[in-house]
Formats: sequence, structure tokens, C-alpha cells
Amino acid sequence: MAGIGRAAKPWTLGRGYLLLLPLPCGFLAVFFVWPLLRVVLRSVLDPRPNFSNYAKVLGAGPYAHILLYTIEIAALVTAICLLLAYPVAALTARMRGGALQVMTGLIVASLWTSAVIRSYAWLILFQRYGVVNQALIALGLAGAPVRILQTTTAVAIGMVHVLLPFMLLPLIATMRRIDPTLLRAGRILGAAPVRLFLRVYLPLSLPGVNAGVALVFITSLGFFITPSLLGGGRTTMAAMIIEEEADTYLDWPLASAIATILLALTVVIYLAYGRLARVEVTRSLR
Amino acid sequence: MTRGASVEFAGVSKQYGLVTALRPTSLVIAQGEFFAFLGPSGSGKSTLLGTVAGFIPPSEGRVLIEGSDVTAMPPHRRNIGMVFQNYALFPYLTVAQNIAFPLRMRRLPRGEIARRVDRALEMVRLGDFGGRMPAQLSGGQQQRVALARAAVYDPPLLLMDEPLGALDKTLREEMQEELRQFHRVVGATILYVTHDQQEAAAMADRMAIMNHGAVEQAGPPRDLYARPENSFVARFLGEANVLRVVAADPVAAGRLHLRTEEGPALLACGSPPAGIACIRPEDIAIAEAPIERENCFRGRIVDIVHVAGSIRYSVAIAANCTLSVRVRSDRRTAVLPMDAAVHVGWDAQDALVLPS
Ligand SMILES: Nc1ncnc2c1ncn2[C@@H]1O[C@H](COP(=O)(O)OP(=O)(O)OP(=O)(O)O)[C@@H](O)[C@H]1O
Ligand SMILES: [Mg+2]
Repeated sequence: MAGIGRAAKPWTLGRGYLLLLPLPCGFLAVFFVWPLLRVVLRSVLDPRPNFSNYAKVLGAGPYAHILLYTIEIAALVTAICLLLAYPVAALTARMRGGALQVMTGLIVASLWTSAVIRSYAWLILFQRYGVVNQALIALGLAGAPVRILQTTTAVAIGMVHVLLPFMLLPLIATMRRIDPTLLRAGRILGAAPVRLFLRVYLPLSLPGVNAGVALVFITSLGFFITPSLLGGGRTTMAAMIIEEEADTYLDWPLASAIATILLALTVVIYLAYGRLARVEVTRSLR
Repeated sequence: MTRGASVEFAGVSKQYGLVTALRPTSLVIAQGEFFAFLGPSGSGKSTLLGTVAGFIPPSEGRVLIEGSDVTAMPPHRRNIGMVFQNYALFPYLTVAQNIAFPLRMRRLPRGEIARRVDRALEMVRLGDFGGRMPAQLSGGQQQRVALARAAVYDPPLLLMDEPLGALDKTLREEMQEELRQFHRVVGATILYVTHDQQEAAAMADRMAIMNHGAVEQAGPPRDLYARPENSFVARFLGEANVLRVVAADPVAAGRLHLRTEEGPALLACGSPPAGIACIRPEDIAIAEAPIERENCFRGRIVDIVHVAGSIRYSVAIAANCTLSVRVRSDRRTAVLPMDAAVHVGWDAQDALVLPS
């Protein structure tokens, strides 16, 4: 008669587990916080303790322009991801059983291939005499090969391709949790299909939209591999210029300043978006 | 006061592949009636209601509201109110905005919406709660908001699918009273789904007992209890001692002598075909001395259960025949002891003879 008189204790985070805490904390401190701090410090202390590096970045030269362009491209990629992912996620969320497994399997499987390989694939497709140009010419849409590589278009397509799953997954997760009786309630209360979507489905899916947008936008800001492969030479994003300053010109202080500004921008935009999204939900959708 | 709408089911059925959710059902519900659907889980109650709401297209048959065929009409044009078991309040809207939702969908002017929302909030006694979010309300309050939202546009027909199912017993009884009052004031026809027979009997003008996707019997609660047409209804409503009849011999006009599978032979009023005999526990008398009734048996008490206001004895009168007997009790009632040798008895007219 096992277990009699000994009620199963619910699992709690016991004291013992606290002893494990220093390990990850120490790891993060050594390999994340400390280097980050060094980057920030270096940007103001090197070569002399002043803000000359920042003056350089924000003054004349390509840097400010590149930072703005990075934000633009990140916004563009995020918007395209959202537009593409929303309907797919809405359909996927309605699937059951096998179909759902296949669909989520496909999305997750796309994460197994590294961004490098996928970007190389685009590199080949987008070549001067690549498949895309041949198709354009065959269809009569272009007379001669067009430049696709090194354009915003190529960078955006490549980044959307890599980042789409990060929009899809939070959307699907949120949409699957939408209570179908709320949609029925909306219908019986008099909402025709379009208004049902705008007034019921959309607001209920917003948490997923916010998560996906934040994830994709922030990741886009720091993207390196895809833009350097598909845009390199003409189209430059922040991470690429940081790499160039550090690697090619060995101007570590300047690279640190750009990195710090990018980090600050990311945090500011994230906070601003968080506030905006909350206001949107509580105010305009009433 | 709104005029209630009549509802007619004309041979409505629903198949999901090989699963029959609803067998062909025909039923007419009068204007302003409070009509309850009662039945065990999976008996097709929600399916039937879904065909009226328009969520579930029937496989066959038609649904008519006020005589006009709505079978193909989408839910948002049916002008029906509905209260769901989990209330289905929109979590991102305040209480007032929830109630305003159907009015906004109907594009009413702002002032009119504000006036109607206030009136609806008053009606459900939530005047000060308009600015709250649904998550900040108790279950009973959410229930009342759901009711206000369903009624604010004065629909002539209201559907309620286990609206009180999530409330505790006390609150449920309180809300039953409120709903009855609401029905008297509003005058709409109400189709009400429940699997609580007391709730159905307390509230409905008429009710339908459902089983395996079909209506077994429909009528006023009292009639169904007093004159069930088959053993399912007899057993489902209240309690019944059911004996299987193996032979029925007419002994006089309208009287039968029944021999039963369980052993006892008894006299009952009724006419063939006789498949079963049902005797309600409260129709059986119990005493230590023999009882002056047309049917009287000796037995032994094998179980005693005290319920509010009554005592239920289980009395074994044959090897495999135990009867349930209920007697009213108060503080002065003497309780018969366990294992006591007793007599139980009832008159011929107390036994219902049913075909099966
Ligand atoms: N979408 C569906 N697909 C397959 N079978 C279904 C579907 N919806 C309902 N059913 C089946 O139809 C039958 C009737 O279901 P219904 O929901 O009408 O029962 P109910 O009387 O409302 O039960 P409950 O009291 O549990 O709510 C059940 O056996 C159910 O399993
Ligand atoms: Mg149901």
C-alpha cells in the first residue's frame, strides 16, 4: 500500500535549487554583462575620456544614415513578416490533429537550416544570370538582367525568409488560445464577418502580434549575415558597419560607440512600442 | 415589452460524419414561452440550440422563427440574444462596452447607445460597474453582464446554453429567480438548455427531455413527471422504481395483474402493452405493520439515507428486488432502524405502466 498516509507534496522550487543560481548568473556576468560594459566604457574612454566617438557617429559621415536605414529596413521586414504571417497563422490556428502537426513541423523545420545557408541560397537565385533573372526575362518582365543583389529588395526578402517563423510562432500560439465562443458571441450579437474580424478576432490576437513584432524587429536591427551576403558592397546595415570598423579599420572605440547607440535605440524603440501597443489595446479598440 | 417570437423545428437533424448529434426533431415553441431542454451530456441540446443561433447548419430539416425559414440565414442577421455558459464577455472591453457591442453593430446613434446601456446596467443592478473590466467581476456579476448584453437590443428570442452552469448552488438559485423575473418583464421567448432537472422544472413553462440526440417527450414539467411516456423519462425525472414486466393479465377494466422479472406480482392501472412498471419512491408507504394497500410486500431495510425534509429507505422485498421508499420527515418523525422487518405498500393507481 504505497503512498498511504503520505500525501504527494506539490513540486516547489526548493531551497536546494537556489544553490544552482550562481552558476548561470556567473556565466551571464562573465560572458554577457562584462563584455557589454567594456564595449560601453570603451566607447567613452578610448582614445580619450570624452564623447568624440559619438560626435563622429552622429556627425557627418555615413554612420547616422546607416543607423536610420537599419531602422527602416527592420520596420519594413517586420511589416512584411506580419502581413505574410497573420493569415497563415490564422489558418494554422484553426487546424486540428495531423494538419496542425505537419504545419508546425514545417515552420520549426525551417529553423533547422542556418541563416547562412539560406542566405547563400538566395545569393545564387538572385545572381545576374540566376534563376530569378532568367525567369523575369523569360516572362518578358525584363529585357536584360536586373540588379537584385545589393538592393534593399534582396536584403528584405532574405531577412523575411529567415525571420518569418519568429512571427508565425507567437501568432499561432495566441490565436490557438482564442476562445471560439467569443467569436460565436460576436456573430450572434450582430457582427458581420469583416466587423467580427476587426472587433473581435484582431483585438484577441494582438498579444501575439505584439510579441511577434517585438521579436522580429529587434532581431532585424542586429542582423548581420543575411544583409552582408545579399546587400554587401552597396546596402549596409548597422551590424555590418560595426564589423567593418572593428575588423577592417581596427577602430574599436568607434565600433563600440555605434554598437552602444544601436543598443540604446533598440531599447528605446522596444519600450515605446510596448507603451503604444498597450494604449492601442485599451483605447482605440473599445 | 418585446413580443416573443415563435420557433419551429421541422425535421431538424445533424450528422457529423458517422456521428449523429441530432436525430430528426420536430417541435413548436410558442411566442413568449420559457422552454427548457433537459438531458444528459451529449444528448444534443447544444446542437439543437446551435441550429437556432445559426452556428450549426442542420444536415436536414428547417428552422423557422416567427414562421419564416431562417435555416440559411447567418447568425448576425437573426436578431437573437444568447447567453453562454462561460459568459463569453469580451475581455478587452469594459462592462459598458460589452453591453454596447450589439448596439454598435446595429449602428445606433451614440446617445441612444449610452441610454440603453445605462438602462440595461440598471436592470441587472450593476449601475456602478460600467467602467470595470470583466475580469474584475465575480462569476454572478459576469453572468448578469452577459444577460444585459443579450437583452439590450430587445431580441424577441433568447437562447441560453447552461447559463448558470458555472455558478455555485446558492447563487444559481438566486439567478434562477432573477431569470424568471426577467422573463416576466421582458416577454421574449427563451430557449434554455440545462442538465439540472430542478432548474428546468422551476423555470420552464414547458420542457423537452432529450436523449441520444432525440426529444423523448415534451410538455409542462408536472405532466412529464406525472405521466412519463417511457422509462427514460420516468427515470430521468425524479426517481423511479422500475420493474420489468414478463406477463400482464387484465383483471378488470383498466386494471392489470403484472408478473415481473424481479419476482413480485402486482396490481396496476393501465393497459397493454406493458413493458415496465414504475413506482415513485414517495408513492410507497412504509410501516412495521401490514399496510392496507392494493399492493403490499414484506421486506427488510438495507439502507437509510437522510435528505433535507425526507428519509429514503432501501427495502429489499425479494432476492434481487430492492425498492426505494421516500417518506417526508420532520424532527418528530420516528426513524425505522436498519435491518428492520417492514411492510411496504402502494395502490394500483400509483404504478405507471409503460410500454418499455
Ligand atoms: N463538431 C462535432 N463533431 C463531431 N461530433 C460532435 C460535434 N459536436 C457535437 N458532437 C457530438 O454530438 C453529440 C451532441 O452534442 P451536444 O453538444 O449537442 O450535446 P449536449 O447535449 O449539449 O451535451 P452537454 O450537456 O455535454 O453540453 C455528442 O455526442 C457530441 O459528441
Ligand atoms: Mg452543451
